[in-house]
Amino acid sequence: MAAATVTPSFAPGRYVLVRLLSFLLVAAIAFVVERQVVPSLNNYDATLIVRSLLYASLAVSLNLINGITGQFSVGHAAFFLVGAYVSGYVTRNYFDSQDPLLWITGMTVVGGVAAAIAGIVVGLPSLRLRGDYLAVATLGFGEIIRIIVQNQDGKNLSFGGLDLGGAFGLNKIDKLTHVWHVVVLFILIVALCRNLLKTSHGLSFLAVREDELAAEATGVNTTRTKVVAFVLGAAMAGMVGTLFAHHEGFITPVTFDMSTSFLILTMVVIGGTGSITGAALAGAALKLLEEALRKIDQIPAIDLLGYIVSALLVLLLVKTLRRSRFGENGRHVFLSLLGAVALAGAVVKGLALSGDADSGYVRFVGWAMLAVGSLSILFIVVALVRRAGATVGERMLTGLGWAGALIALVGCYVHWFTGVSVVIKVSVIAMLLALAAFTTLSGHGRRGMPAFGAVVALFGSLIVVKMPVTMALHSVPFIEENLKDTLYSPNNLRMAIFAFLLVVVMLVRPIGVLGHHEFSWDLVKRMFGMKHKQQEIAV
Amino acid sequence: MSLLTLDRATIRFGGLVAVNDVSFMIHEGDLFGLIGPNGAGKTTCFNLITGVYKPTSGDVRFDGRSIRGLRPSAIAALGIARTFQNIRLFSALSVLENVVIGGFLRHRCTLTEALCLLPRSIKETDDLVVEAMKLIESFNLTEFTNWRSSDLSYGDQRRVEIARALATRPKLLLLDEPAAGMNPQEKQELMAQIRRLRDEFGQTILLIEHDMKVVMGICEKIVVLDHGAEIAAGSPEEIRCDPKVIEAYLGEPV
Ligand SMILES: Nc1ncnc2c1ncn2[C@@H]1O[C@H](COP(=O)(O)OP(=O)(O)O)[C@@H](O)[C@H]1O
Ligand SMILES: [Mg+2]
Repeated sequence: MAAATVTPSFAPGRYVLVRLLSFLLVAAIAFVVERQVVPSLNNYDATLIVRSLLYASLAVSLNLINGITGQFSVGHAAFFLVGAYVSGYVTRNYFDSQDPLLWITGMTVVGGVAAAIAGIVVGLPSLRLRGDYLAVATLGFGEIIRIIVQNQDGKNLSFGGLDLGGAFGLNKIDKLTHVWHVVVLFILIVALCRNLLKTSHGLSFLAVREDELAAEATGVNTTRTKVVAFVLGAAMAGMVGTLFAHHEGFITPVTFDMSTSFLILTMVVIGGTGSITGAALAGAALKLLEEALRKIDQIPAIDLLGYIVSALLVLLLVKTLRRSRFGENGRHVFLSLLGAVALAGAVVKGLALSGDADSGYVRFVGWAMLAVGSLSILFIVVALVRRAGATVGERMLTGLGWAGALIALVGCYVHWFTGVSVVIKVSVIAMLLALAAFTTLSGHGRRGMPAFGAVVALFGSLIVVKMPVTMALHSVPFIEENLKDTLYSPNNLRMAIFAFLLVVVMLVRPIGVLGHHEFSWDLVKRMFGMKHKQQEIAV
Repeated sequence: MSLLTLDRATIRFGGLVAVNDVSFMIHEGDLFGLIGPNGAGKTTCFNLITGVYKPTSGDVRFDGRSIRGLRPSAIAALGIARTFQNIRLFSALSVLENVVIGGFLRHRCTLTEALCLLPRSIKETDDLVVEAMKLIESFNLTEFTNWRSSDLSYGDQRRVEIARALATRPKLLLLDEPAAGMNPQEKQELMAQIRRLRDEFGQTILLIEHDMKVVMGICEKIVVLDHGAEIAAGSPEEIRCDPKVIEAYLGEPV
């Protein structure tokens, strides 16, 4: 990680130059965002950017506590709330045509300090506990803070008659947050965490996560370290809360309840506990997913059930295959065949759609499916013939991998013309590109494509298995009678979807998608062969 | 004046007296052995010295002051470093990072400096990295510098742990069965290295060893524990002939 790449000679000139360039870069990004990007977006798109970045920042701040210091805290929304309410309250009552930039900067500090104080109050007693007990304590404290705020309606139950609007929340907070403020805060929070890990000081936080007893024995005061991490994380969440309150204009206690804490936690765990990059990416992605779910049509309950049952079946299938006598190659061939069946299905469906659809869009999708399906099968054949891999199974998976890339590309193109927000479209494409770059260029080399192919094969199998499963479900009288007309709105299911994602990631890769990996320039250099891979990477 | 003094140290866990009225003194430059059969209370003695447990009665003095009741990190700051019988490396971190954390006590930069990556924090980290690299080299671990520490072999992990302890520049180094799980050749190399630490760098060392032969080879002063009590103390020759020791180690050739 960090220390391994430090060159043991400190050059003042270079230091100043790098600092200066970084600041200039941040200023340039802020400028471009405010002058070029934001004017070209509608309000909704701008809101999406703000919310996804704010949640990414929240995830990074919680990662400092959960991932880096290893203290499983579950009540992070409370600090988000404290920052939002304190700064929102002050602005609502005292803001009056002062310089807005100065004011929002001041409020960010106020929100951060208020949340830090809350962090000390919660952290000092809670951090004596470990593991499950700590989780329960932070969860409890988080809810207590929210409930106290919910009861502050200026009436009899309120402390000191303070009016925070009770369950209705605070409204008419001046909307002082600009998109570039959020961008800068995000960069700031990521930079602080990243800086910390680059120093020996920061390593002590990792030491506490790894082994408290050994950390103490090497002179790290674990109690102090834990409280510092907790308070820092809380302060960051408070700053995020400030920008959130001044972006939305009104805030209610429900926005900060347990489900929000759960969402932030999910982001950290899925991203990879300890990985700043992972937390930031998962934070932005999951928030965008949440917003996208609001826009998606309702799903028939039986279809949904079909997906869930099929996903379980596919998982079971993979587990059984692992234990079977097929061997690795047989497993790969089997999976690839399932994937190929899905592609053949796409060809058939594409034929049908492209022929007799009445809407031009649907016909277009049909043609796209037809083209992608047949080309993909061609890919598999080519990979087989060209011996792109050691075994037959690997060759087929490689072909599927390329097919997956093609499908993703066409999918992006098709979806460009749907009603989804441009922000979501761009993000999805960016993430796919990043994924593609990683799998094809990373040090994993030839293993990348077959691995990607395996993912495609799994999705393919899911689609293949889902059809008979759904039909079977329809033929069960009990299910058909009770669920025939039930529709689920994805928005209402979002918590279930996140929980499901969480469970899947935990089953497949318990340390989260990125594990302890970080994005760094070294990695980029290694990917492009500019730097020789060191004996073994220590992550 | 002695560096470390155990003064009638006693600790009870419920009904069990794990360390019973144990007293000994370690002087600067000593290579001191603490031996005894399994379950004799040797590790518990280490835990008393390093502050993991507080003695039920008695006192522990280090460098002229009582360290009874201090927290382990404070005791480490005074100059006592240790290794653990069941290796406790920071397993997800690299070998280098493990040893750099050993230098944590000597860093001076504040949290703010680290968060803002101010010059001092970088310089200090660089210095600690250079020092750590030297230590790693002296233990012949250079090729593993960037390895995840849990990927190393058992013997190498033990040596990383010693390097990490040494990185704190301790006045007193406590080693808990450092040769456990090593093959005879590795064992011999390690013992030679421990000996060198004392002879060349004047490092004061307190060594726990279950295997009497190993300790007899390198320690000048030895204390023998059995069932928590001190049953003998003295030079290897004196210990070897002590009837109580022979009885405690009954069945094991001495
Ligand atoms: N935390 C504890 N609680 C209860 N008993 C303990 C504790 N730590 C050690 N003991 C007991 O103290 C005795 C001495 O253990 P130990 O010091 O580990 O022996 P050894 O000489 O093999 O290192 C053992 O009987 C052990 O079970
Ligand atoms: Mg022991």
